[in-house]
Amino acid sequence: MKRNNKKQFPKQRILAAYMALLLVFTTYVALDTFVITRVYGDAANLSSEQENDSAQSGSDSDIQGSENIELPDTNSGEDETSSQESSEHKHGGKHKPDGSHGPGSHKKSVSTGSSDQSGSSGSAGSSDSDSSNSSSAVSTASDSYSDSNISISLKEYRQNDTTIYVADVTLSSPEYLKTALAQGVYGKNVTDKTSSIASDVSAILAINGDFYGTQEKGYVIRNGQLYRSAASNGSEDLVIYKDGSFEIINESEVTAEQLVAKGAVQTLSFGPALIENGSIAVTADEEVGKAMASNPRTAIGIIDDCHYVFVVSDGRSDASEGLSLYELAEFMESLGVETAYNLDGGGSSTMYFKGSVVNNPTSGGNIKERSVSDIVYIGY
Amino acid sequence: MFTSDTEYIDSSKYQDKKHKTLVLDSYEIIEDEEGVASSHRVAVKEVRSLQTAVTYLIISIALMLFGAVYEYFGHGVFSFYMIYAFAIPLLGGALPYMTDYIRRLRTAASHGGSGGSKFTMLIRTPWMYHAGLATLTVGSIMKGVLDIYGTTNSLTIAYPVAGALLIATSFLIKPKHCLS
Repeated sequence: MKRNNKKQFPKQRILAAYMALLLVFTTYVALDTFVITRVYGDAANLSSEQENDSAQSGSDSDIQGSENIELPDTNSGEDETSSQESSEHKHGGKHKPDGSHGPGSHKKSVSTGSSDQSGSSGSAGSSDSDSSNSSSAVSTASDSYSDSNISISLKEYRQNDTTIYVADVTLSSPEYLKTALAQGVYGKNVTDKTSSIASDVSAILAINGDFYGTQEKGYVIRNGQLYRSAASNGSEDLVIYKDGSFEIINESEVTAEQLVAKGAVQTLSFGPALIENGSIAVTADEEVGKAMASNPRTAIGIIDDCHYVFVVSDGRSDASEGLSLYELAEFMESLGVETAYNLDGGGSSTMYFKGSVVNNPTSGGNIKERSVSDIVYIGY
Repeated sequence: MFTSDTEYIDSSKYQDKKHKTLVLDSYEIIEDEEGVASSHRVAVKEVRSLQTAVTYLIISIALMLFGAVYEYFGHGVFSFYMIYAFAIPLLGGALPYMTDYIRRLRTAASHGGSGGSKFTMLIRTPWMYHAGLATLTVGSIMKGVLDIYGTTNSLTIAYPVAGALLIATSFLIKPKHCLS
């Protein structure tokens, strides 16, 4: 018995030491997840390398180097409130017959400042007449941009006690639909505000992307460059091809390399798909990351060739409740979207247009922009 | 009366009640340097079980509150790992040690024995068991935080692996010099 007493280890010390080790490890995991920055590749360098490779091989590169395209003054676009009305009739005319889920019934100016409200005098009641009239009735004060290649009309809707911002984009070529990485590099915890990234690449219109940096898996193909090929089992991705078409794929069914070979220039790995083949693809109780609530949302959709919609909704505030995924899908369907995909939402949801943030991003209970990994943008 | 370490870890000793008491007495003597009297030792065991159970209960309640507050400010985003993190110390700590305490009280009252719950008596290295529970609990909280933020980290796999290993080891190994 005495032998045992003398050689008895201090169990409390061992336990305390283990707890300290556990604390240190947990701190490291937290820092590794949220703070420590790891850069895996420089987007610009990788792009230029790929361009050189392409030039040498004589193939057409998917990467559009900015030196190949004349960069117009983004402020030179005309403000075309009157023309956007007809644009809406042309591209976004699919509304529900009863108008109950037609986009918006509340009119409010967007914050970009150059809006023209001449076309927004219709009352909410007038939206019930017919589908064509409902388009004009629900249109609100808007802002727009137009040049020879890019036409953007920005409108604000009110639905489900939520303010929704819709940028209707028509391009002469899909090459103007691009993505950009924060600080121009691919890595973990490399982030910047949507507006800063957009400003850096002279974007005309931008929304936050899929925040690839928070995930360790999931395809990352940006502007034709494959950055990450690790599949996230069962993950639904949006693939944007060279011709500007959209496709929803499952990462467990196709490899990133196969997508690149098929001509994919962008993949966005967040999801889920909201609209597929013109029909709602989510159920009423479906959610992202177990967020069974209305929240700020970001989505992108295609109506037809080179005709896209960028959608951002405010949320988490008294002024704007936010949308569930199903409500967002319903809204996208009402815009006549053929394929729509949900991007990173919540505090990340941000829309940037002509130099300023259009919506009211909520981060930590305050109206301010959150830093994100990437953006989807329209520009040269 | 006192058994050696080798005899202590021999599970066959648990087969009859008489030997079990002997083993427990031996264990108590080895752990308590003072060499307290037999009746006192039984009381010490009861108090320890109660203290452990109450500690785990407090941790469970604290985790329950933490999860509720975290969810309240999570804008409807939730994680089952966060919500049910409290269940680990509750089911793994508070419940068995409270059962142990109650059984000791009953056996002491009925025939002066010192028999605890079968589950806690199987734990040969309690500090490892506690460390395992702590690891699983912290891992669950961490996984919940990452889930709610919408991110992942492959390092979090270390928590369930380490926790499970520690708990399993605590049932299997009795260190030579009575680490427990």
